[in-house]
Amino acid sequence: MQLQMVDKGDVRLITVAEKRIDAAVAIQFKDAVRAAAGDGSARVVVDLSAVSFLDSSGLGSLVAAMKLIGPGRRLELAALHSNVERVFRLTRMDTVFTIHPDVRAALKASPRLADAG
Amino acid sequence: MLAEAMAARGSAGGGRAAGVGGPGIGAGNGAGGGAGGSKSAKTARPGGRANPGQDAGLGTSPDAAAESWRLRVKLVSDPDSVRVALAQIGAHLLARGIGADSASTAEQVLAEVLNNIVEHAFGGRSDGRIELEVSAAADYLAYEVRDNGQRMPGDRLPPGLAPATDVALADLPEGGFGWFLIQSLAEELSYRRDAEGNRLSFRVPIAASAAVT
Repeated sequence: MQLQMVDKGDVRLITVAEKRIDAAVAIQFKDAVRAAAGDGSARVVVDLSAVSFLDSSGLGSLVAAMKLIGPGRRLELAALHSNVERVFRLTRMDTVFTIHPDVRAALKASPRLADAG
Repeated sequence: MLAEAMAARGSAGGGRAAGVGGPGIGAGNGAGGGAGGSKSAKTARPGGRANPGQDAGLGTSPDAAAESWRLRVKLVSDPDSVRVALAQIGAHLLARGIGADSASTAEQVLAEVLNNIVEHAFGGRSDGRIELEVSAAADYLAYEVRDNGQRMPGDRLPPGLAPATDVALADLPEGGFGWFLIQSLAEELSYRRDAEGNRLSFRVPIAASAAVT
């Protein structure tokens, strides 16, 4: 499971380097996202631009990870491939997660980032 | 600025016991299809081509999507084998001229179907046997998936209801999306339980724009 993380202002940005989030990796993925999210930053954004396939297990693992990152914090997602976006749309999980078109838009949504460079 | 790589070793590629090397795959045109099905199961391996000779020359016709063909795949009931089978079928669809959007929809449906078989029909056992057949008509892909696992509850398809999303965070569903996605994306879903086990068939429409690519 390949994840990278970096803090940008009050955002912890988690970049997923896996092409597929499916039943073969769903549990590891949930645990890795939970660990990468830590518990400090105000916002957690997951960059899914490398993920070209996500099945219902992968969707479930993101829901499970969001429940684990603590009250008051929600996972935000960025840069979904069209078929990944479709999974969120059909299941109406796009109403549960904040979904940004790309990482830049996700970071802009944070007012404090103006000074963070 | 903090940068840190997370590494959690995946199980893929680890090679499970009992020689689960991946699905056998056999392809052919029309009535001759599937001749290599059982024989090739021994030589097929993840990422490899079971029938390189047959793959050569695929997709040479501009009307490839309209040609009649049939693909047979055998796999065992574990998530890594499902992954390998999906990759092989996906590559086959593209080689046959099926558009990327249609192939992607087909992969989504088949992934959910196979996950359900692994998880429910075989309850996580990895020695279950799954056989599937894909064929193409002018405007749809037809799938038939057979397994010898447990029957569907009530011998019928699950209702595939939309999971509840207007609930508190703690009550959000972490599963139950699979059948809903299948019902949303597939057509002509049909399930039958017979002496050999479960038999599920469905169609995935081929988008009209597929031939242009």
